[in-house]
Amino acid sequence: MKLEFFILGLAVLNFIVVIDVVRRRRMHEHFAMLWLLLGFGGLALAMLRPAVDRLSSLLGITYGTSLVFTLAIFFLMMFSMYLTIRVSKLETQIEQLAEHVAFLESEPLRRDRSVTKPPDEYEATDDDDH
Amino acid sequence: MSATLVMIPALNEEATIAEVIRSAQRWLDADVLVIDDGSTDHTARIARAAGAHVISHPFNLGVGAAIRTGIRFAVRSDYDIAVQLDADGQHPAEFATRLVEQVHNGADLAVGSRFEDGYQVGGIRRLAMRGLASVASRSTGTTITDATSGFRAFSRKALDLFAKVYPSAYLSDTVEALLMAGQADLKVVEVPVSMLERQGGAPSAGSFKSAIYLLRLYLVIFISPLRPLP
Repeated sequence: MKLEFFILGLAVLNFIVVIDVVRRRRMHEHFAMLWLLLGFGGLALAMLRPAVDRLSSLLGITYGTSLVFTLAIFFLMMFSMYLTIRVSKLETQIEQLAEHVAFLESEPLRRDRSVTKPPDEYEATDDDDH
Repeated sequence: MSATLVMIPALNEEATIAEVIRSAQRWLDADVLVIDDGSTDHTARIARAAGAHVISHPFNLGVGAAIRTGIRFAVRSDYDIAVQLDADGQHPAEFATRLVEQVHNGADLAVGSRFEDGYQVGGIRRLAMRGLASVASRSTGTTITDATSGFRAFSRKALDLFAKVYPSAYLSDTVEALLMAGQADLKVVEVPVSMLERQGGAPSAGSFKSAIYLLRLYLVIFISPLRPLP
């Protein structure tokens, strides 16, 4: 029972910290949803220990704890993969921005058609979150 | 005479943009700004040829960000009123005059509502829209029936507020802006308008994505009373 309260405490702390940074606009809601999901998921696992034990024996894992650790590591890996993808996209966009600014500051050599088109290698997504 | 700006966010709307600009010019005594949100077609060139001032985002940033660009442009260029119109021809410019009139009469944010004119949506979407409308109504202290309408006019006071922080995520640019307006004690009014079927272009999002963004919006609604004003 002690363990459950400990986990509950951690989940509440996670919740408060996430809500506070979003409130101050230091994290976008988009990412906050993932962190909240992590908190609720962890809480659910802690509260449903019999279910975790049953699931792990079904999967042939001796200790329920191992299953929880496996899931946690998997989530963290997926999350960092996702962040890597976001960072890559940001890098591409910063390059494009730098190029764009450079063009704006340069004198046109011939006539300025000034129809901005994204470079071909960038695939315009529809409205993504930012 | 107060200077008015029509803001038209556009993403690949070459089929309809010229007509939208022309009808805005016909109905409103205003300058027309098209915010080309990273279009890959000829939207920017056609808009320029139709007599609009065009700002192009170097890549796609979403409707909300396009409106934010428009609002910051309006503030920098010292406009008193800005009207937001859709580039796909859904918002008839003749009704924009009603929105502008409301701002002249003291409103800070005038929202055109589609529901007063037999606008029908089905099932879950309707439920979600009702929920959002009631949240928006409570926040603004006026009856809002169509919280996600992007057919709006802003007063200078509203422009000044939103030039600081404007929600740019999908769905949020409309609903969250209403919550912020309520928090800042802006005067919000809803005006009945009829809308047309979209003349071209694709709907902005599928249902899975809409669901995620709706969830996100509920998080925003939960947090917004805790947020300091910008």
